[in-house]
Amino acid sequence: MRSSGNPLWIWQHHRILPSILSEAGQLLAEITGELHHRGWSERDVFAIQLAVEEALVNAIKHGNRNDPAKTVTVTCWLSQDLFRIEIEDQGEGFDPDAVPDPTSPERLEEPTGRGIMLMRTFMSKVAYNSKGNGVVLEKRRSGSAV
Amino acid sequence: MSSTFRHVEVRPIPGGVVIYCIRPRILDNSESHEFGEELRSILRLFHPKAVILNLRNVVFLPTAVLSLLVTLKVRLEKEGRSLALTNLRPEIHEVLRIAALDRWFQIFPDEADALAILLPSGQCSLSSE
Repeated sequence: MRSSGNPLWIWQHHRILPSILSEAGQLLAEITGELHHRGWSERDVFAIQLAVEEALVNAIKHGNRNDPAKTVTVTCWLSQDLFRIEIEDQGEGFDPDAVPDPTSPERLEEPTGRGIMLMRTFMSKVAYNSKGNGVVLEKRRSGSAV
Repeated sequence: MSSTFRHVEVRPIPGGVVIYCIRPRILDNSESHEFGEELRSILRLFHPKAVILNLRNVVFLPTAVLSLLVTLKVRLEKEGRSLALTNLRPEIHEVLRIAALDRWFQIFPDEADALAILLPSGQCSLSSE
């Protein structure tokens, strides 16, 4: 996955994570710390935290199936008005369009299956690669011009 | 008298329990597993007819925890018991609304409102189990 039409990035971060959830938590803390430092609103930080946490957990648990021999590659960028993160696991991928709607009445009692829907709602852009083992998430800063 | 676990504090009330989440966020899988174990321990210890979960301290709700709450409600209702959520911050309420769970869960502004509906006086007795 390559980024195109890049704005002026003021912060970038690249990390290869082992398939360990606590490592994802540490990275997430660094990202939210940077967003706070740059003055992003609590609402935006909440949205990014929720979506990135979901994507990282999906990559580790469902993509790499917690296999310690597999890694998750994460690259994130921050401009004045845009946060972007690319997350790619070493799993077989999946079809995000095949995930059933978790808000349908017959699925409300299902404990799982809400992550992708929440990511799509809280972020400005969610795009999976063709294999389904990589995702790009973008969040435009509230109040910024589209 | 209340009991404190790592993630929650429990206050028994006649017929039920009020559970206060004392940590603002539960991030990784091991923590959500612990949180779930604590909830199950509370059900075993107190056998509450009603569970009131006060989320006033919770600032972040990952889907791992949301899954636990859905499972908890389904289990309690199958057993003829009930679960209410109270004191939700707006962003947590927003997550539930987006997930179409804001009407599926019983959500109240505070404990008093939840108690009035779930445990109207005289209908429930203090569990001794």
